[in-house]
Amino acid sequence: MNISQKSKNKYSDSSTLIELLICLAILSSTLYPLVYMLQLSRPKHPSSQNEYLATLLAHHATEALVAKRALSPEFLPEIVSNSPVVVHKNSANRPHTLFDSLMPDGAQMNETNDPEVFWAFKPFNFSIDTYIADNNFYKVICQVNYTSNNLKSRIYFDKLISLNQSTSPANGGDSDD
Amino acid sequence: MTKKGAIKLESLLPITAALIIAVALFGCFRFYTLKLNPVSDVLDINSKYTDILLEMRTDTLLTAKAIVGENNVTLINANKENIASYAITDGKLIKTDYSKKSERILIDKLKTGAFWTNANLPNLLTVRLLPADPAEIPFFTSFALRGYKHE
Repeated sequence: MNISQKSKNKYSDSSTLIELLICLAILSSTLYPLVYMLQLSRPKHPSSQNEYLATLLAHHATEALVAKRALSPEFLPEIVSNSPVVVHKNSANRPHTLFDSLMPDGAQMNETNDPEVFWAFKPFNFSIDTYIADNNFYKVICQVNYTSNNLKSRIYFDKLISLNQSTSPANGGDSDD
Repeated sequence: MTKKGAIKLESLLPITAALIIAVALFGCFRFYTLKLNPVSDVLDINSKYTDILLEMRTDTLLTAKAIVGENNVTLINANKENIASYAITDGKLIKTDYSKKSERILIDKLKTGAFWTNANLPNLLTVRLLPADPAEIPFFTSFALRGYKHE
């Protein structure tokens, strides 16, 4: 191998390295739109705030049922469909009795006595579905419905109530489902 | 006569390519972190609320009576022993655990907060916390006092 051939090979090797680096540079530039697409595909968190508040409200309703049944074990909730959580202005629909104690003084919450919490609760509606399972259990489904980004969503807690009163009175013979 | 410089073109190309790679990667990193910040704030408040929910749920399982003060509540079991107390002081919700003899800040930056039981449902403790930041959701839920005994 003569000197001219050696220098030709050396030039060819360095060209390959430069081409590789240029390719890497182009590829890394394409990472930016890729990250942008990944970011877009992430779940939207503003809706998770509504989801979290709906969970807290459904928890409140379920716990209120447990408390009511502990005081009067014969109490069984009835079916409720789309009742508001707070009193809406110019609306005939009243909130369900489980949402009576939203204020420390026991008053109904409205947009004048507690505006911050009122506007946070306004998007939510409350429903109860019930059915008897296996003749011994009364199933209660507390649902909190809301609309987020034009999508109807709901959070629900199930409660299985034993119709046999022989179980512990402390929790009304209920079990979480 | 050709002019000869200190750096050859072949040596400039890899430096340029390396710089482009570095700038692109830095851009991706900045884009990713800038978008993530508001999300982490939401997750932060949600995780604090979850912590409060779990702590209070555990305590109210054993609670027979809740003594409600202006900005605090003390949970007492059926043997009339203190389980825990929750107090709102200087915008902070502080839990005092009597069994562990410890105090812990569960959440700070609160505007107001309240605890109450209903006259019709003395075995239901309701908690309402309003954060100082109006963009954040309020905490509102209730806990049945499962250690409640009929008088």
